[in-house]
Amino acid sequence: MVELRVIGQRLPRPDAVPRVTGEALYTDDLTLPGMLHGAVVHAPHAHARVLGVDLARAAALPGVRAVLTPQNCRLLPVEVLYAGQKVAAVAAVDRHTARQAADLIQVEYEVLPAVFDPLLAMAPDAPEVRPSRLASPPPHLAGCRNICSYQRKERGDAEQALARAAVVVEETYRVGAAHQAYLEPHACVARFDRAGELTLWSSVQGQFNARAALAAALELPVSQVRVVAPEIGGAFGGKTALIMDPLAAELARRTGAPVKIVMTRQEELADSHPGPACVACVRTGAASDGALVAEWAQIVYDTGAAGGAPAGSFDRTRGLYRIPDFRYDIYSVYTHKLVPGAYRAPGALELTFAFEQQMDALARRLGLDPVELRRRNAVDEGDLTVDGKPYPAIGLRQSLRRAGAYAASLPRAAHRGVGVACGKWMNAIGASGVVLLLDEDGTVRVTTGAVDLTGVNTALAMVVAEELGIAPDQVQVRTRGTDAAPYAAISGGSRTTYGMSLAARAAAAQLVAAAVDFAAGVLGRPAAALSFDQGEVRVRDGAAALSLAELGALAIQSPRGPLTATGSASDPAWLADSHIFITQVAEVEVDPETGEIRVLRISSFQDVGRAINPLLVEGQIEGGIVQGMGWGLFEGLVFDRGVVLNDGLLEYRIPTAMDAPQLQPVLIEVPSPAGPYGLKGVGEPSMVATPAALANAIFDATGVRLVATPLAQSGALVR
Amino acid sequence: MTHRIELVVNGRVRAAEVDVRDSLLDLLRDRLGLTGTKRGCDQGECGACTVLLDGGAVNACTVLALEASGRAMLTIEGLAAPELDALQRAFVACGAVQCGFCTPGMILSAKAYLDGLPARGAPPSDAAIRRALSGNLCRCTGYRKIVEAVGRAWGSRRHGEAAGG
Repeated sequence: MVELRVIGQRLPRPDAVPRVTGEALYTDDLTLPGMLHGAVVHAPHAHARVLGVDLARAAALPGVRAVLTPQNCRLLPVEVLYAGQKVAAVAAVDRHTARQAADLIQVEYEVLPAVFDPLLAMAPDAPEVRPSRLASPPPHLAGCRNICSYQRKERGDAEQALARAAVVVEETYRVGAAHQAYLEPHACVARFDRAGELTLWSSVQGQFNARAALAAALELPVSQVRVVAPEIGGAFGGKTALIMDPLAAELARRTGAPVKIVMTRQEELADSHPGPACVACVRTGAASDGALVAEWAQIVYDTGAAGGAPAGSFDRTRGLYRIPDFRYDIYSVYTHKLVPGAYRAPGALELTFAFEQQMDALARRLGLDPVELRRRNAVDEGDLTVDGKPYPAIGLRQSLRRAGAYAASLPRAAHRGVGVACGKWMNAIGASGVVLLLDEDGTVRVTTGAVDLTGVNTALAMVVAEELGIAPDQVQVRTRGTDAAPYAAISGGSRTTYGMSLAARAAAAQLVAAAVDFAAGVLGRPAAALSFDQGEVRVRDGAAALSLAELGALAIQSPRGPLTATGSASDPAWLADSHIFITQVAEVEVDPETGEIRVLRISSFQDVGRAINPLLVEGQIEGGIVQGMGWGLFEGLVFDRGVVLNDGLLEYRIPTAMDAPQLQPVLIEVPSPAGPYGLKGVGEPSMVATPAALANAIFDATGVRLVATPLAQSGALVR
Repeated sequence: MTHRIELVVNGRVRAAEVDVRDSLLDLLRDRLGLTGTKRGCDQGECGACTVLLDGGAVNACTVLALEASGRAMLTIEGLAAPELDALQRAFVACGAVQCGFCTPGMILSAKAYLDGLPARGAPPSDAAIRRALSGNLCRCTGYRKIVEAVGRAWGSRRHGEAAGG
């Protein structure tokens, strides 16, 4: 492997400094002259028709500047499809007045029948949320209602193979909907200028897809919309879609003033896009020596009132074991509830919870060690993915081996359990582009349009520094808005560092070529006589050299102009051929009297391909593990007739510093053939296997298998 | 319905017109323009708005602005004076900052905790630090590097004191 100077260093993020001083600006920190504040009215019913809106009392309040209702605004619905849906919005001179005015708006509803359970929603006589999207449904779905999507993954004949299997384990697993609970609520500021250009500052993961969505919602050409993403306070997939922004923009248009809307924590928990609930019935069969022979599953995601559940991630997250015959039916079904979205490896945690408990249950039935069962069946290079493509070099076996050795080293103790679970993910690549400019003092300026969700700007500085042979602090990375930066896909999908680093490497190579070409003219030598090394262009016979600073200053004054370069990376297929495997080991202690579960330690053996900055990579993994623990152990949205009951951070409890266990992230590096420096995406996979590892650990401690989240709320452990 | 109050913020006397409905958080962010203190829930449950009021950590969203009249407070903007404080340096060095939204409140809670420890005591345990920070939610880091940073800051503050500070 090539010796790298900067890549692989544990470098603290330069942008951590403004965050620890309070200087970093998030969307709600922005104030514009004449800015109004917006507030939203949410429907209390899961399914209802809006009959009328009485504005008299709200409009009479001093300081109210505009009110939007279904009668005067297409963005608001005449038929409500979930409790919490926005039905009116008001702009006023301050936050207190806006909220007061919103509370004074009286909406008259006709309440309609509703359905909340996805299995019940499929019945032919269920209330219809939306027409089924299946153009030609297969026979077994004829007459079914509310089906948003259906997919079958199949190889061979699973039914026959299961009938012949020596051992079959069958179970139904349920994962509840969980909220990403980013600390920063969605916030946006919208402003139309006199020329009619709309600017949106918003807490979003993707500036360019926000621009497209906002332009469509406001019926404006994309060229008249500018999106600028300030610092973002967490997202985890929950900030890919616009929520309040179109209403803020419409209020800005009608009032002629900038309008800010910030979601309350209650609104976040009741009206955003949480990770979806999922029910999975799985049958897994094996021969007596542990070789898997077949697997069959019916999987139903609850997609709420519109398509949003990530039901298409199956092949992205499964395919860990050689299974000759399988059939997986995956559905997403409409219900009268809020629309889910992506939560860090969308759709994957729900499936892993089911399938990795199956493996554990099988191992117990066969009298095999759970790691050994996985090892016997684990895929390797050349084996087929779920979709029948051969794997390149992958890290599942290495991750299993290291995890297994660790698990085997743990002493046994009463009421303590150890659980293992594997997981898989694939990172995306997405449209990625950077522009480099060599400044007159040798600083390399990098312009990017990708939101810095996970430290990508630090990684870009390291990549450019590596390629140019300079120090990272000689590189300045800036994220600019859609009017000033090259197009970038959303930051997410574990793609940001992957895709953007590919772009940065390409741009750096182009900058080197430009520098050599320019230097040739300056030195009066042919380019072939020059080389670039450690930030300098040198004459090969050693006589003369020009530093980047010298070249930068000369170029700026020359007819040629400043040395610039561009680089991009993308793939129309969205997903890269990059397979990330992870094995987690959870250690728990269960109180035999109360059933209280204490999580002692979670160790995560993740194939990262190549860690550009291990300090940042560890941070991503540690955060993902604790989120996975939260979802598995005690998080979950609680609904009553479609209304979210636990709409505050006390009732929707996320892990505190005391809940979080000891964390041991172990970085395994099996280089990716296509990733920059062999890197694979890191941000998402670490939460995927945690609930399954915890459930398996609880079984190890108690002999009780918990098949529903949140695990801590099962009554099954109390004596 | 506004009232004029005076209070000391980060060592300076400040005056502000406050609405009776304003919380201390509203006062800091909206009236005084000190946006370093963050609003995560407005219900006293996340700790993102932690400030030190007369030296004690409080959730600014649970204190009425009028209650702060005549009192002294420290916000994140007052910590670097002008060099970064030991906690700020440690958070940066240990990789304890990801999105940064919980960071101001987390650092101030940690400061209140460290300030309250005896001058010549043993280093705080992992469990003690976690208990002290249990009112500050973080969703990005999993807390491991935050706890490490607080321990490191304790060490460098001790060293600073021992060196004749």
